[in-house]
Amino acid sequence: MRLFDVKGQRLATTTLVRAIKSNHISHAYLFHGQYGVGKETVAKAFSNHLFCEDASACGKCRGCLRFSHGNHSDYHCMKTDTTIKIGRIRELHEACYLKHEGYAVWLIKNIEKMTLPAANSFLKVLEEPPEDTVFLLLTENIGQVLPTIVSRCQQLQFPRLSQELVESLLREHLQVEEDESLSKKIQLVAKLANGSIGRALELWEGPVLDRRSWVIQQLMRIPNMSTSEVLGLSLGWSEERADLESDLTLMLQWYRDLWCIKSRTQVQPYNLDYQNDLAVICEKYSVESLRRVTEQIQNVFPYVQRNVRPRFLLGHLLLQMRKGALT
Amino acid sequence: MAYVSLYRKWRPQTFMDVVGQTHVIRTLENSLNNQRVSHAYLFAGPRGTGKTTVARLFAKGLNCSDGPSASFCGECNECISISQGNSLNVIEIDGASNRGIEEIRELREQVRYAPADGRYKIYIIDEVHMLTPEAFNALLKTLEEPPAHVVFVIATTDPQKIPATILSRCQRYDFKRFSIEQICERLRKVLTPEGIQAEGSALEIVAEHAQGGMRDALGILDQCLAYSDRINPDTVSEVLGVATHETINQFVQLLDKKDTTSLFQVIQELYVAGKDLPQFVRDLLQHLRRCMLDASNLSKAGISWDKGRLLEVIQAFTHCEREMRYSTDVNIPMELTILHLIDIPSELESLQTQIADLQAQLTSLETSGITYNSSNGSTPEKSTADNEKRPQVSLTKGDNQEKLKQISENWGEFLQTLRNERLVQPEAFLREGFPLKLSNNVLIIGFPKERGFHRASIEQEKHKEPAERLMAKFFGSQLSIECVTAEADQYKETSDLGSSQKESAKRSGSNSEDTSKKPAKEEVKASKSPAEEKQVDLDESVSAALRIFGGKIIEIKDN
Repeated sequence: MRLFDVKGQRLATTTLVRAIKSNHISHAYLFHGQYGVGKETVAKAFSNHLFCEDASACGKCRGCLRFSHGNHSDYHCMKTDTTIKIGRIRELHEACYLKHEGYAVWLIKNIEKMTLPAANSFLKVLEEPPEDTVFLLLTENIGQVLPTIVSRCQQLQFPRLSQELVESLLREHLQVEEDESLSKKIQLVAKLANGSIGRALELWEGPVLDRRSWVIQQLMRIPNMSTSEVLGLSLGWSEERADLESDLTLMLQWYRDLWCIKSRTQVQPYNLDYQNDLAVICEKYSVESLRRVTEQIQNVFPYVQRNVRPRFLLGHLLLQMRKGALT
Repeated sequence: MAYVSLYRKWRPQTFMDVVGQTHVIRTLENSLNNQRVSHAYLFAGPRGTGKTTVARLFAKGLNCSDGPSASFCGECNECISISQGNSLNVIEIDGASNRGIEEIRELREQVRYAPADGRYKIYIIDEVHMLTPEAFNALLKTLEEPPAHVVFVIATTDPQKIPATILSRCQRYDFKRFSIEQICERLRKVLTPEGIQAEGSALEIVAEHAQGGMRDALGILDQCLAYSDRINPDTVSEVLGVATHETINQFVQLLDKKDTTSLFQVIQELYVAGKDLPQFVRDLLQHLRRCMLDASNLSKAGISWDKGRLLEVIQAFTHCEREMRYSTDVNIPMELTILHLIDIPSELESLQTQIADLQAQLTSLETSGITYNSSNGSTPEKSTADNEKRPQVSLTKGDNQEKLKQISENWGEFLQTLRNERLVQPEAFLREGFPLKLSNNVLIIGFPKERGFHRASIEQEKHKEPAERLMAKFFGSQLSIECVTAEADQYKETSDLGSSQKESAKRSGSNSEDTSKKPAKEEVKASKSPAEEKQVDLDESVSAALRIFGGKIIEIKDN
């Protein structure tokens, strides 16, 4: 794949193409941006250019073929487990001083997962690597990367894709006959994916959409529930952290939509398919209670990441939602 | 020859080249020129302020063939090999990778040997804060009294992590962040030989975003050059993903106008243009901070916020920035913050409106004069005042029946007093019961059958004692509490004794005998509560719940 063929991410691709053309290739790049917006795609395309004999990613020369077959000896992709430990970086130290022909590329994903010792021991080699070595570091959260690492790299920001682009990429990927319900679904998925094609594909294939309609069902029922029913609901809720985070996002989107309707802001809601329900439920909440509920949901996020027991968080949160609806 | 990043290419090669840090440079120069070289130096400071660079320069100054001097030649073998990083006498150790005690032991072995050629062996240990405590301690002796030919330079961004015993053995130099002017000056110096024109305002944006780090500044510049030949504010803001000043101004104005729809549109536009929303919030905060310092910024834009509102907006967006870190979708915190700022009246505002209301009422009163409203104004006030002064109910005269009647009448008030005295627990238990009978200063309190828990609790000394104490204060006579199980209708009977004496005399008479013997343990025969009489066939689980928790079935709904 060539950099020209990458859709979206104009800033990153033009910068990299110019760098290749003018031979101003930096020794370290840091790609940062949300999940599923094309960081890895661009990184791979860029590597392809570097390995190609005339830097055009022709797809025919030896370098391109070796790369596309996945057995280029100078292409190192560091696999990330839950963390990147100092041992991996020591291996990198040894490997990167081995002789290589042309460029050697090190692709490290989720650089924020490096432990502190690992990140520190990476600093020196990152600043002054051996000749013709390029580090491509990827992260979804630049705030969690050691600042001394960040300052040694050229940073390329990967913004979220536009909704239209996600839709068209999704169509391209699916290649199905479209009818009205399908195009509605595509639109909804693109909206919910929030500029991430990776997330859109997950939404399309995975059980996430079913999960979403279940969560929204519950959200609609909560105002009419009794306290014990609400608590029962919170007991039955999934305790998986990943599930919970996406559920909380759904809740936040739901209440954001409610508030937007309440304040008569003309904006596209996240929950395109529930517009009528939103208008009805909106009547049950005051602005103040919407504020309180949204604030509460936002407060819960860090607790989920810190492993507080989900059912306590949820019990409290759902009760707030019910209480808010009565006043 | 591969391309080398600007920040590596333009690493200062002489002390003259170094921008700023004069306090460090001057001291080092003097010590070199006067041959007063210490054996251990600590360079501390934030990223990109020149620690490693100065360490290398210092090494050159020490080992240059022209003698230890600050004005080293840069041309002799030693200077060149240091520049290229392959000198045998300058050992640059990555403290973060070689952090264990083993590596330090190895270093101690090496230290003893004399330099290959040249005067000194210079050990530069970078990122030294990552050494393990054992490694630090193993280093102590060597660091204090190294051989005469050894100089240590240890560099770190994090001097707090270094043990005090190491700190006290070194001369410490703190490197400062660069000012915006210093960075701009350096950037210009770099750009001129590269043959690139740059606008001053663009360089200022770069310098601002570098946050005092020269490496950051040169890195951003490198990035801009990679993106476009021209360096102007537009390309810089595009590369950095920041919004222009106009957008920020427009945003603030819309916020002032409370135009939610347009504000959401601005966010949408930023999103489509690929701007980084957290970065936008940070820039917005910077702008608001400037407005805070110089109020004319706001009035120029036609915004009529006072300091209070401005502070409120700043606080809201500071909060928003924090929320964005945890959020998977950064739009939502932003949108919610906007809605919050616009929809929810601030505390100050609501207070102001309240004051205005009160003032309006006051003026209307002043003009019309005060009219005295006797029918509902005075009486309740008086009674509450009475209660506060003399809440006790005197139980000095009358027989037991009359006293009981008085107690029953004032029971609610007594409970309230308990509550006011913070005796919440006894109050909660007593609330479920009712005064049933009084004999010889023993107040018998009845509890319904299903309130066994409350009865048992109030019988405990720790709850009973305070309740009795307050009772003595409230009713003016020493009463002790005894509990029995009874039903509420019995309470009615006893309190309505005068009217339905016939019926109840028999029952209460027999009861009084029993209760005076063993009042606490005796079960007063209770009539069935209406719900139980209705008697639907209960679920096993429901009846179990009733047995355990007490309670009544009031209504049964079918789902």
